Amino acid sequence: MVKKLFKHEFAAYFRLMLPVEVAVLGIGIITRIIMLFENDSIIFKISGVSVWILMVLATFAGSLAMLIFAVMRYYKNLFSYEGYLSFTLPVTPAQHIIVKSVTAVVLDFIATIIAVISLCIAASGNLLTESVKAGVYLVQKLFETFNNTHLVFYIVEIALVLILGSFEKLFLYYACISIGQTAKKHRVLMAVVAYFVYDMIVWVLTTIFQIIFTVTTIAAPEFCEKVAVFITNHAYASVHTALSGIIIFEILFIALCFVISHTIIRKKLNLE
Amino acid sequence: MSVLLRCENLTKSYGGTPALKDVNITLESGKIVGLLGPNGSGKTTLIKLINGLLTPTSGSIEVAGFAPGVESKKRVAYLPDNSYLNTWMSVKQIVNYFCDFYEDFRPELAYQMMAKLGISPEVRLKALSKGNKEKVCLILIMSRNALLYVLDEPIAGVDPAARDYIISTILNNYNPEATVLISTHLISDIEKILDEVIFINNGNVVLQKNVDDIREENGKSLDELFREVFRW
Repeated sequence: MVKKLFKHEFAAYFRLMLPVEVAVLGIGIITRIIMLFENDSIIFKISGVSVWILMVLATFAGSLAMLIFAVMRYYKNLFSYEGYLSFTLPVTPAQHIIVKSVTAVVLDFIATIIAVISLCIAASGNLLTESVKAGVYLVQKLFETFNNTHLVFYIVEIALVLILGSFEKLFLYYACISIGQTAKKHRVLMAVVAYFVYDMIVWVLTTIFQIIFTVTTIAAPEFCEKVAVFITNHAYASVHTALSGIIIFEILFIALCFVISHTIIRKKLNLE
Repeated sequence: MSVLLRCENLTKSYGGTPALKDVNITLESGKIVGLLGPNGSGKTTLIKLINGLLTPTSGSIEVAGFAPGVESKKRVAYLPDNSYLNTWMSVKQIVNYFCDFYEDFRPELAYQMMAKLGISPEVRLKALSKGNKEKVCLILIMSRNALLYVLDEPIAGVDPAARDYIISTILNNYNPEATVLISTHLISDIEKILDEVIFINNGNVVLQKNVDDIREENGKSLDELFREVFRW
């Protein structure tokens, strides 16, 4: 059943994504064509800059569109009239949530690749060559600076942080939408309120952490210095610990959001 | 006859407001059962509970021995009281969707019924009229070889000719070993096809009886008895 859910989820996304991604690629091609006529005239300069602004906007719009599609698919397919079909299919709520999130993350990745391809098309020529050279140089420098084994681990850890970060963002939206569904009226508004409440909690916790950090720095400078020395002496281990901490935090956060969404769907579902 | 649906002490409250109170129902296979009651009596709540779209506050439900979940959903074909299909899909796509998820779905039967109505498989659902959309929903549901068909207000808001079409579609296509539970308040239209009725009012089951017994004992049609029981 999960395979079939993926099949239909990808099909539904494909329908939404296709025009956006065609537009992103199209703008890349238009930019390249305009750049072919590069000269010093004022008209070219204006059109060249405009098309590059359009290119950057299209890339951001493509990324924003993917987020909107992900939120829309979750809300519309599970909590609007479509929910009557989704929740009478012989699949579990957990399968619905997992399939939706994995599809969204995979297609977001594909959309990012398309945006990069579009940028490459637009920038082919000197700019592209220079960018590739700079990238290769950066990677070489990284391998020279860091121990190879550590660098491989860093890459894996950073990749995990980024992938889990995509899931984290999605699951937060899913949890907020699900919380909004527990209200009797104005459910979309309640989802937005839930997001702002989360945002406020994060702001309060960050402020508390900053206060503790500042107070500790002032009150116990020797302790802070010892910590700084320890980090400097154990640089590799410190970075691994920090990245692992982020990964663990992301996993816990995703699990919490999943439990909230899943529990609401299982116990509090009430389609209008 | 085996028991297909069993509700025991089923209660559902929204906040503090009870929508169903201590409901006990047993439905056997091979029957067409009318779930009758005025608006707000708890019919849709009961139907949603059977389909796992709501969780009971207390009590239990079993469909063919399974609590609402994956196994029960394999056996129940549910028609909600509103259009619930993805309107961007074509008829062919929605048929394929049902084929993928329901092992008991009979696509050839669905296409055959749609052809009779002149509905092309290539047409998008959003291009269909409201009446045709409702008929497509019904066709999809009745094309399943389910054990329990749960139809919520299938004849509400349609013209008399469409009502006849819907009733004949139900009668001609349901699995004779299955049970059809039809919720409605348009009793006179479906009275002739019902084997059994459940009267529900203010969240309570006030009557569950064989239709022939009702006629014999009361000397009244179902419609007359309904008007008497639910008189304001």
